[in-house]
Amino acid sequence: MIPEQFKTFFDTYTEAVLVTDDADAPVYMNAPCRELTGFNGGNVAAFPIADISKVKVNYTPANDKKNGRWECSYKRANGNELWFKVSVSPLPVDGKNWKIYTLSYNPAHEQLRETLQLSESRFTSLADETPVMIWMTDHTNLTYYFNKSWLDFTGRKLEEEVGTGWFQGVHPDDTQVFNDIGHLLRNNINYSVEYRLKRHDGQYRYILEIGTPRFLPDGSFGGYMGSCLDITEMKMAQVELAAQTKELQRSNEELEQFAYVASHDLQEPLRMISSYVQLISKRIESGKTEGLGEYMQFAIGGVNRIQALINDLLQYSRVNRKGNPFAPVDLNEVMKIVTAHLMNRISETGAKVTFGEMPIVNGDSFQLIRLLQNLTENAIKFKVPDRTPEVHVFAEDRGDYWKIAVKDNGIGIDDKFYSRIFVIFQRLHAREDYEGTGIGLAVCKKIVERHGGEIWVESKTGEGSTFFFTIKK
Amino acid sequence: MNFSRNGREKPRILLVEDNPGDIRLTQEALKESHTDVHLDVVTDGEQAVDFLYRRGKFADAQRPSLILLDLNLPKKNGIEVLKEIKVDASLKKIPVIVLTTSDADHDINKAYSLHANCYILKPVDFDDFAKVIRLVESFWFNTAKLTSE
Repeated sequence: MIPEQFKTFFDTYTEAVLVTDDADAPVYMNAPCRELTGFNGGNVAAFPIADISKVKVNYTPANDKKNGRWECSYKRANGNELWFKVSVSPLPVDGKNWKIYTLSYNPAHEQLRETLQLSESRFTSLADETPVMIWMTDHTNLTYYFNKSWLDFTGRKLEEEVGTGWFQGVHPDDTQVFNDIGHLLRNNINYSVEYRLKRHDGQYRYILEIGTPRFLPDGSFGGYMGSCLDITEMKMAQVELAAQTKELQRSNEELEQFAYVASHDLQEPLRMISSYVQLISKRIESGKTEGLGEYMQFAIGGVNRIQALINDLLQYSRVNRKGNPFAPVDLNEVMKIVTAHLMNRISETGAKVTFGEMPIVNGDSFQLIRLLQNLTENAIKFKVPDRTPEVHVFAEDRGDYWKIAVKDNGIGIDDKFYSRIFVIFQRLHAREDYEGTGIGLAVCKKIVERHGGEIWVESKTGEGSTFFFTIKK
Repeated sequence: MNFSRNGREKPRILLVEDNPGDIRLTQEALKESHTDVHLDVVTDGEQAVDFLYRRGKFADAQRPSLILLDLNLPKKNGIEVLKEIKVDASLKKIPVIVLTTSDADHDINKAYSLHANCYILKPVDFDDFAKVIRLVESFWFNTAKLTSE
């Protein structure tokens, strides 16, 4: 029960005063308060105290120095609504924490109330119309407001989202981003984060969220306001762009490398032709004709080499540029064509070329012929002297792709050269031992990559090599 | 040991070159010059390194006074060979003349960074090629003083 002396004191008070106990239950109100609120119940404890603490406009929380203050709209017993200014101050007496509420009413406040209600309804309709998702938190950073866009997006009710409910929709892998901005939140600083949020259809979408702190007229922190955009499309475009940029970079690098090696490798045979033609003419002038045949061979060799280089370079550059659309290709037919193309090589060397049951794959038939022909030709070419080349081509079913192998009994390749051999113009052998332009396997690699597969080699020096490539089913 | 007409030990050149046409051109050019030299030829980068370290079939190889090194070589390219030569306390004293068709800045820069002693572009014309070989010989064998250690 309220001490009598307070009662006497407040009874003479002209302002409306309401006293509550430890549990914030009303225990006393003076006559001006009864008049103002229109409360005429016998038991003061029945006064709806929640009504005057509900809508907190211009809210200033209580602290050591100041009373808590706010404004609210209160519905009187007779039904009309009044605009109240409320101030609350603690009153600790005899170990009890009383609270004294002072209520005041000013007709001028009515205007404010209307303006506020108008502005509130404007805000709500604006916030609900915008495609931007908006939320607001109170000064303890618990969310109390979500606009329609947010609720439509998550497909959840306001009651489910308020407080920390919305956090359930954040992708588990992305919750960390909110820890990362913890220091910004604690210091009431602007922030922007990206995270994935579950949409009503269960799909996670990329969200860009910008948080801005709100401050009350007295400068104290009133909570954050956040605006969020679904940036998934932009994100996808970014990924696409990055992939395109990477592809462009790769093709530029390839072009540079191509120009560099092409100039180098094309110049060499040109030099041979010009130098040996010059030597030949010098010999003829001086009347010494011995060795002319050999010089002639070098000059002709240069011409042949330029021709081979140009052909191979064309092949290489055409893989991506002049590729045909993919269609079902029977690799059994491909191998028949390949062995027909290589007939001369095979009869010259006495090579045995065999192939197992080959699958039908989806691809560019001309390129697949080129691929298997280059590999088979290499298998015959890099033979051990005095050993009949044996080449076997076979396929293995690997579930969603085929693994194709070209196995030979040739000279083999040291494992330190396994990756170098697929680089354009890289050769392992002096030309007098094994002729070649150093382009064949680079072409193979390009073809396999265009078909979405991989190419590699396994080998034992002196015993033979097996070239493998994969191709999707 | 080979001795030249004036009784001095013949300078030895190691040519690292995979193109038979270029090997022959070098031989022709040396024939036209006045200095008497002994020419050893290896046709890839691995052989070059084996030759210099006297490994395998090159166990009896003799230390060259000068190395003519092409860059575009099978197995180990010229740059890799240069790297191996110039980290060896003894081999790094042998002058290495890079003789190549590449006029790419990065090749030139790389070669000098790895302490190539000289970088020469292979001339397109035989007379110019012969001249270059003559100049190399005359400078390194008659003007410059080399160490045999």
